[in-house]
Amino acid sequence: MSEILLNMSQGFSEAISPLNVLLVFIGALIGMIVGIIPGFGASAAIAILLPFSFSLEPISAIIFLAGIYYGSMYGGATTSILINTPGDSAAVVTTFDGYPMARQGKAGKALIVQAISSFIGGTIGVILIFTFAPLFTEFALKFGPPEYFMLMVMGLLTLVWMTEGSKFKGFISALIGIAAATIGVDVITGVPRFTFGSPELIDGVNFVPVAVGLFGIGEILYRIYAGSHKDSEGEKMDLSLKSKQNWPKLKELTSSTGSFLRSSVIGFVTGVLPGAGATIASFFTYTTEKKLSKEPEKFGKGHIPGLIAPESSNNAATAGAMVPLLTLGIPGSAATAVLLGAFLMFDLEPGPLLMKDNPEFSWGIISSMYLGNIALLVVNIIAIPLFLYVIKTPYRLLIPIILILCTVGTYSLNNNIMEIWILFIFGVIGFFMKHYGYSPASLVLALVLGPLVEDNLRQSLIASHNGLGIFVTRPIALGLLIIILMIVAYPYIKKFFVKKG
Amino acid sequence: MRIFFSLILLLSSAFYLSLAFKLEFISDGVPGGGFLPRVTGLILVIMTVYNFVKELKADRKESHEKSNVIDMIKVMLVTFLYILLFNILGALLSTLFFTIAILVFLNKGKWKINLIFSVVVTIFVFFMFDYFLNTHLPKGILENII
Repeated sequence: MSEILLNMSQGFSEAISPLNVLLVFIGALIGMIVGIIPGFGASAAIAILLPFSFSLEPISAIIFLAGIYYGSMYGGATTSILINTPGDSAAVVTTFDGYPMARQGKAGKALIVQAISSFIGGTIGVILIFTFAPLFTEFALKFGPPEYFMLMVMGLLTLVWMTEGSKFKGFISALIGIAAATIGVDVITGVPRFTFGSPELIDGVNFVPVAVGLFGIGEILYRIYAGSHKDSEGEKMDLSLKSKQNWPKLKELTSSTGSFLRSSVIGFVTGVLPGAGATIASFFTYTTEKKLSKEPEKFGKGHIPGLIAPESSNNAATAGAMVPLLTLGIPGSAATAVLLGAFLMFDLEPGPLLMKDNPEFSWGIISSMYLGNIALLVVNIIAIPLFLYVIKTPYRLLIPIILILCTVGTYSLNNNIMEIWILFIFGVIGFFMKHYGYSPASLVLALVLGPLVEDNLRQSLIASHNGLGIFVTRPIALGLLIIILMIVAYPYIKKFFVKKG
Repeated sequence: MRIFFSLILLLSSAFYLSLAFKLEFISDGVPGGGFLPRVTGLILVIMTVYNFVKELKADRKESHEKSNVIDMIKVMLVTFLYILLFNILGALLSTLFFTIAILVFLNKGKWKINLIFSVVVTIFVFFMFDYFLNTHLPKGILENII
């Protein structure tokens, strides 16, 4: 216990500088605004806004980006409630009860319940990180290349297996990411690969133009294709904070204490699992709450616990996802993959060693997440009228702004025109991928993990005396392999039993 | 387009695999630089072939609003031109023209708002990146003026 408190105080003293607090606020606010834009979730928000962090100190930059990560999760839920359009997949479940509430004229109340749920989920998540991250670090120090390799395969497979749409095409997307990651000089032998003699490709494919292209430009093209630019302005809603009916009654919240706690803890655990994350957490807790409820028939018709479950859990999952990222250096989702990319850009290699050698840094980031949570609760409630403004801005006016930010932002990365061309190409590819059911998120995660996957695979095989045997003779690696097989087999087993039943 | 896209994936995978075969699979008894590329490329080719066949058999009808497709192609082309002119005209002018062009296509008839909006957005972005974030955006033909 005392160790946790020590970590906390160390972290907070690192995180609380006037600049960092300001950055958390700004990051959270900008993240929230980007999150409101339909189709733009955490990964897009972090990728597009990444260039804004370059001129900062590493810790401030990461704090800023983590704020964006958090903020975009909040923002995504806002449009779910107000216009039945989730900002990203993690906010889909929020529409189930949030939108019916808005239809009944309780939009303001729904937004406040959402803010409180997110705050509680995030808070419990951060407390759990403080508790479990040191244990994870201890455990992770025992990991060698085979374990790391297995973990990364597990993360990639889970993401592919759990996302909606075709698993097959998700798998192809991940393989393309791995293939793209092999471009550049081979770090072990020093041989250039797939570079065609071009000096730009020696260092490999930079993930920023790829991620911004797929998530930013690809999404915009897809939205135009779907006709979002022709949408008329939204209807008027009463969101005044002065009117009493827009605030939830205390009893409505206290009667749901169980929902808050369960959803937050389940959300956190789901977030820690590589590849699972916020979307699955929100679906899972919603069904759990519905099953446990005495009034399951009310779910889907604007029932408050139906809003609490997804919102507490997806924010707790966001916190949970930071655990493998910080302690193992392995991102479990596209959003944390983009964050890892940012770490690497600042020459920081997250993992057990960073936690051990540079604890104030890691704890500083975690503490900043807590500050981000407070910032968001305040900003979120004060900014409710601002949301309406963003939502009422016609999509066609947002299109040039996003395209410019993507282009100029990518250029500012290395002042390299070549990278904007890569951005454009991946924008077009991103459109087709999204349109035909491939998975841009799997591609990006694989691209970021690719070099690590390759390095750990080859290190394992070099150390092994019996080829692939090393993956089954080491107990932790074997355990991970069994989990991977279970993940892969699960949908088929389920199908088999459903058919039989 | 669906089939075409899956064909491109197939051809790129095959190309990748063919290049991977030129890299050493095993060097000095340990996995070489070609190890992962060959394994990945091989699985990728098998999967994309299967994918291509599956898409061939699938329903070819794609329902879409024609005007949306045209709008999308316009935005793609304008973005292409934007990048092409980014270094030549400089970031300031190319961004301004880009915004105006997009709005002329997507926000028809409201030229006054479009013009004001474009100028404000351009100046805001340019100053934010060039002065506040200290990235040196290309000045192009305005090199000696700003």
